[in-house]
Amino acid sequence: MRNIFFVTLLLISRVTYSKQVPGLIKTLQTIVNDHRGDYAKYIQKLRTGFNPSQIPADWSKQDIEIDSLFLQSISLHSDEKYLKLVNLNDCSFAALIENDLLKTTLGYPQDIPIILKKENRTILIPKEEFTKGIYQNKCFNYLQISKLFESLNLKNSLKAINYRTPKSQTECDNILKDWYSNPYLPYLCEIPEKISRGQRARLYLNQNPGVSIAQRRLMNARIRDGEFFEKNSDFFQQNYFRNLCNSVTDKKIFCSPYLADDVWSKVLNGEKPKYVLENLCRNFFGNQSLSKKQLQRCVKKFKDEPHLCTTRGQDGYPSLFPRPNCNALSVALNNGRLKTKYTDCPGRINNSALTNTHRVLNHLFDNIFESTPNSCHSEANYNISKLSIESKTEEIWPLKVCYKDLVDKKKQCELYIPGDYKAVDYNEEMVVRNILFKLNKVKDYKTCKLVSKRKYKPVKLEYKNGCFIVYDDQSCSNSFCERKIFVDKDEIKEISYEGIVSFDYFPTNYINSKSSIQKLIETFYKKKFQAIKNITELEVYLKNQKEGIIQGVGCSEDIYPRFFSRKTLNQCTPLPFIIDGAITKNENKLLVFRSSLDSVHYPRLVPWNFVFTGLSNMKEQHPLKSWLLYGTK
Amino acid sequence: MERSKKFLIFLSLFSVSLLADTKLSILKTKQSLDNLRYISADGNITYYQRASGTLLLSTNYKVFEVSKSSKKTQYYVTATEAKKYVVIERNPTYHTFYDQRGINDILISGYGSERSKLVGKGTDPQLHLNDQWYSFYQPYTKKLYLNNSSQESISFNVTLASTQNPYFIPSRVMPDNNTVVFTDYNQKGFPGILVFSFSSKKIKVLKKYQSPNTQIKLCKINDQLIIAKTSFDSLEKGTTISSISFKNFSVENEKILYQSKENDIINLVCTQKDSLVYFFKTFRNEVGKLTYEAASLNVKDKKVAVLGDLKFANQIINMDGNIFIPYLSNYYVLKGKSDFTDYDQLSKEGQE
Repeated sequence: MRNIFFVTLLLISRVTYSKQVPGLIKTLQTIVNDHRGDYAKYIQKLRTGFNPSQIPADWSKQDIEIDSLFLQSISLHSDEKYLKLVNLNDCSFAALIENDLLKTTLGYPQDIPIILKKENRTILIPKEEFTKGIYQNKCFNYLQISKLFESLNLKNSLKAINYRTPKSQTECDNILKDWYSNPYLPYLCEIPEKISRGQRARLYLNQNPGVSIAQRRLMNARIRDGEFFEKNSDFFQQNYFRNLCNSVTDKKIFCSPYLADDVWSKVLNGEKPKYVLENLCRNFFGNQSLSKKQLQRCVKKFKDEPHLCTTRGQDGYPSLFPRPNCNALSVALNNGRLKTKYTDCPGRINNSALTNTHRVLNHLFDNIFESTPNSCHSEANYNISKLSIESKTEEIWPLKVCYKDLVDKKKQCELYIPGDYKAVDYNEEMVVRNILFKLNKVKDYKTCKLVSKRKYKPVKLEYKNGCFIVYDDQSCSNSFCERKIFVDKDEIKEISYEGIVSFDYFPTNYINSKSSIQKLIETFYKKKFQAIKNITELEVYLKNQKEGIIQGVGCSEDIYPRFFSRKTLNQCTPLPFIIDGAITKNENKLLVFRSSLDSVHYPRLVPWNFVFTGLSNMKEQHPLKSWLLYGTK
Repeated sequence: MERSKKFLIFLSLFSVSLLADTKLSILKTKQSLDNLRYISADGNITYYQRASGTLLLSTNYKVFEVSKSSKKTQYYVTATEAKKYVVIERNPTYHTFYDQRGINDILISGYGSERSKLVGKGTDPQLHLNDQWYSFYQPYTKKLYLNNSSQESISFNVTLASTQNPYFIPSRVMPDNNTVVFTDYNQKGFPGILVFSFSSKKIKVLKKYQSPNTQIKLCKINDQLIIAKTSFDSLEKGTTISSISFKNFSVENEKILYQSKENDIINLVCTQKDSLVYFFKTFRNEVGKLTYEAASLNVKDKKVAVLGDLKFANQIINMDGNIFIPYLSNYYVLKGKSDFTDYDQLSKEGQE
């Protein structure tokens, strides 16, 4: 087969030069144009009067040759990287045809012109029959390989592949050398190729609504193929194959993403989860879901302007400021493992133990929230209230809206979570509305709406009628938020808010230790807590427990001395935190540290010594003199 | 032996092994250090708290109750060398509600007096101008309150502009009875030093800084405003400590007293008597390892002295002229007396 290809290349040149042309050499464009016309006529001629019964049953056993004009067309119109893959082995040509990776001027060939030498005639063999025939007679192993990559087997076959990623250039060269002799390669290259064709086809149809039926049919088929491969492979696999197949022409395309140190490149090549980058980039583009191009643009910005991460990207999610720069952030995220498929807003929650608990539970249960600036604090409230309700520990979530019952005149209270988290019916808007209904203050309104004081203008039509819970967003937080309720512009005073979310994060006494958050997570959710006493235990824990994280409480003044200063004797402000990584840089032991005041997507690199001091000083103020640092999984 | 006790022994051994080389002495007191909230330089006045929720004053072998609250209430006591008043921050939910922006009770009491009075809610109470004024901050409303200590009716408040950092607490000094100089951030997160006049109720900008990573701290030594400036970001390294005389109070008269290429930790303690500014100097060795040592800057002759040898301490407090470094459950004495065991001899009833 390989020899056929090289011979044919010579033939192509002879064919070209044998024609009558103006001058000895003509432009490639002219060659291509001339060829297009010739090839189309030739294939049409072959198709006219052709009957599949004319194909001899033993065609693949005969002395055959692939038509030279067909090969010329392939060489002129196929992607260079797939032409190079023809050299993979004697059978790769057929495999590339099977996977629609080689192309003629008329598109991806569905039938192949073959010359039966003995009979001196050319016949058209349908693609499936061509590949089957070649495999059966000359390339037996390809029969099996082809089966492995059939629709029903594809997902499992992809799972079984060893995706080696290099740590050095030498290792990368070896990995590529192995892949270039791997017969699977044409089947793997089909995946990113068809996904890409499907995306282009979708775009084409969007931009050209008036295409012909035949064209639409062709584009829809490509879209279906693309969707099939997207569904049956994951982001990492798609990226791996894309880089691998593109590296046939340039090794750097495969090697450099894996040899790059920064977390941004690792996300783009699928080594790190996509949400790590999406959470940071979302604010720049204002979309919930970002395309690969947008992510690439975002990464370029982070690399070119590292200061960007300090101030931008978290609008609407207040947290400790300024944030780390993009370089420091990349190192921290590279070594961190906390699952962050949500965005929280520490600045809108008073009790930072609530923020930390929300993060710990989201990691342990891999929770996902479609967070917005309006819902971020409600999501944290929901998580803790759920723990309180499920474990029947009312004291953890005592927030209630109270009123005097019209019938028995007794005080009644309903549990609620602040905010408008619509996934539960005990969100504030719904609870207030239900109470007002009981008090006969509302009849038709489905819900009461939370509105900031700045926006609420009763003179405006939208606020003239309806139920509104008005709060001052400039000085409002989870627990301390003065609210006024208006129904059709009349203030309702019969309702009061009661309770503050205050609880033991770790036990502060032996009698009530069961109702601390730590004990509830241990007993109710059956999660394990392991005491961590020093840096060695910390490093060993993180190394051995791949999904484990470490949580604790220390004095904010010692842990973040640049943000908080101690002015008096024994001053210590408790700061809950999560540690999800540790590195040594220039002999400094640094922890991937997310305090409950920081944005969850912006971990800082904090010296272990600072954390140790914070824990020591916190222990002195703790009623049980407890060392508050635990591994959790 | 209980686990906690075993661990305490382990921790003390660990700490000792880490700090075997320090030349600094450790503060020793008669009663448990973690209950103490203030001890005067001569040891005659001690404020301490109890697990029952009370703040007690011990003086002249007598004990008085200054404040009473619920169990496990946390107290912080602030006093200056003027010794006219103490301001107290009281947090009854310290162990069950972790709020960096505490809306705690602020009380004022005469120095050495058992009577205290609730004067507001906020955090970070400070005394100014020989205790003539006190201030505290409310992070949720972003209001800085300045009240005259002896005349309740004389009080002012300034609303800060900072929106980017919900946990920001302004550094502030009062050069005179009519003015407060404080730090703030604008809407974009750029810091500045501002001056508020009580009489005109107007705010002027003394100086604006060009990077949101800039950190500014202020203190006062006699008639000079001391400005320490450093960066949060390792990409913008550098620290300066400068001064502006209140007599010629403008940025053009700013004089640089100290400069460093590293980001020092500028938790300042300024002492009037010896014109010293205490802070933590950052050191970087040949392989890039960072350590931090307490240092003092003399504002008169600009001499810098490195005083500590603990490597990783980063906080410093001034308690009636005694300068302490709280580190790993101990207080290391940088200046002043370390042994208070001869003082504060409480009767049995007063002890826990």
